[in-house]
Amino acid sequence: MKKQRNNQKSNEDLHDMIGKIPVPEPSGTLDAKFGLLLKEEKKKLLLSEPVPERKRLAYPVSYYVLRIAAGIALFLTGWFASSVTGTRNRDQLTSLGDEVNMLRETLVLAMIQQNSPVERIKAVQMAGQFEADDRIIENLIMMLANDENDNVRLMALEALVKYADQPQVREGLISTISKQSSPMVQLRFAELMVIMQEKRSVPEFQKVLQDVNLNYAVRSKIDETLQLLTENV
Amino acid sequence: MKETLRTGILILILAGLVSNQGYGQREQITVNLSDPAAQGYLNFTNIKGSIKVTGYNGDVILITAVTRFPVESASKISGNKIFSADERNNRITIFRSETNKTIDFDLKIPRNFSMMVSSRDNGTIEIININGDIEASNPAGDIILENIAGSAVVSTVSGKITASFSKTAANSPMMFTSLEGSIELYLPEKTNARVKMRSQNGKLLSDFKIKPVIQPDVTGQGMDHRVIAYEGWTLGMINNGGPEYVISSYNGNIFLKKRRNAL
Repeated sequence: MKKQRNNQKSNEDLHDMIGKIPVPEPSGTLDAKFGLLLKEEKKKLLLSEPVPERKRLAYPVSYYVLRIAAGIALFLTGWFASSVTGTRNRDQLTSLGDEVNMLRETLVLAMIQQNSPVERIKAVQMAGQFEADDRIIENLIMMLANDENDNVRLMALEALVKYADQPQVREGLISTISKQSSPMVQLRFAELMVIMQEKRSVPEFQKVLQDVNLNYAVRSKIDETLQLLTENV
Repeated sequence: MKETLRTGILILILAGLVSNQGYGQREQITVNLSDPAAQGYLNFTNIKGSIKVTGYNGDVILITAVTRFPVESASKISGNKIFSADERNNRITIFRSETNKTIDFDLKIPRNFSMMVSSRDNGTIEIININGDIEASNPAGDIILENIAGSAVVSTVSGKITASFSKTAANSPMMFTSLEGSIELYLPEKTNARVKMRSQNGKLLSDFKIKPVIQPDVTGQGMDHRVIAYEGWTLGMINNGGPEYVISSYNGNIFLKKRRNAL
């Protein structure tokens, strides 16, 4: 402890001593001497022959050109390679996606044939989760026309609405209107045809109205629908 | 004079009614399952009349059929059966041999059963204590499901739907549709589902917190008109979301309630 304190003290003394050393002021001649030296140096430079450009470089230009070329080449190979493997990956991904879609489609088509309405509803919901192709759409239209369960037909209709911008889907929808017996499906059809402004559905709705046992709510809704569809021709 | 005539006629009518009072024709059969341990399947369409199915802890199926209105003694004597049942590989189908009368059916079946039951007219469908998938349709009457573990696809036109689940199947979608009636759905508090609900002229009321799922109304822009698929539908998730439950009524209210005593 004591030793340490002694060390500290001697350190402080040293600092004091350094502080006390007088700093000499630069003499006036120093500046002048420096200016002279600078001038001489400049003169030397001006007198000497101008160094040719080439010699100033440590290596010949071709070296640099080669280096840059190599850099560009490397960059290009990298780019090329990445694009090649990249597209291959993308190809693989798309083919994998296609396979998944095909599997899904097969699954949906198999489930549509199931006895249990729960399975058929599942199938319709699954079909709604990806972009359905013609085969699925055809099956959904078949379902909408023929399924024995009212709820399954209603679901099929909801799923098909998504594709109602396709002309063949519209035609399919319209062709099944008169086949519907469930009031819920009939009501939904009436609503949708007004949204779509689909005038071709008018004769189909007229066929539905011929049923004497038609639910009164459906009848009034269809009357309203026919009015909306025919008035702004 | 006129009054005495009127009362006389009234008394005659009343007497006629009283004398005609009696019991309907009643028939009961039991059916054995090929494999009582396995899940069974029931398929029954009652053209006219109610269906009540109750699950119980037993192996055999007890079917009781009663004509709702008294029948003439002649047909009682003739001994014509009013229904028959067929069992093959745990699949039971009930046939009505006579189509004019209103006949109410009461079935006691093992709990593990799936079924397709429908009443075409003049009845109520009631299904109690069943573990399985239920498909029920009753255009002209109510449908009541009580203490169900499984799933249901239910539709009516003029009836109400009340469905109470003690447990829902994790992957099965469900559907409940009615045109005139309200739909009351009781689900266990922890149910995970995606709901798609709509009532054109009624209200939607829910005990569950429904996290909205936003889906653009417009899904296509073909021909010269926009296609609107989800207009009017309420889409949302209960808890973490799961199989889709579609609940749709035209004039009735829709209630989503938490079932107290869930499994």
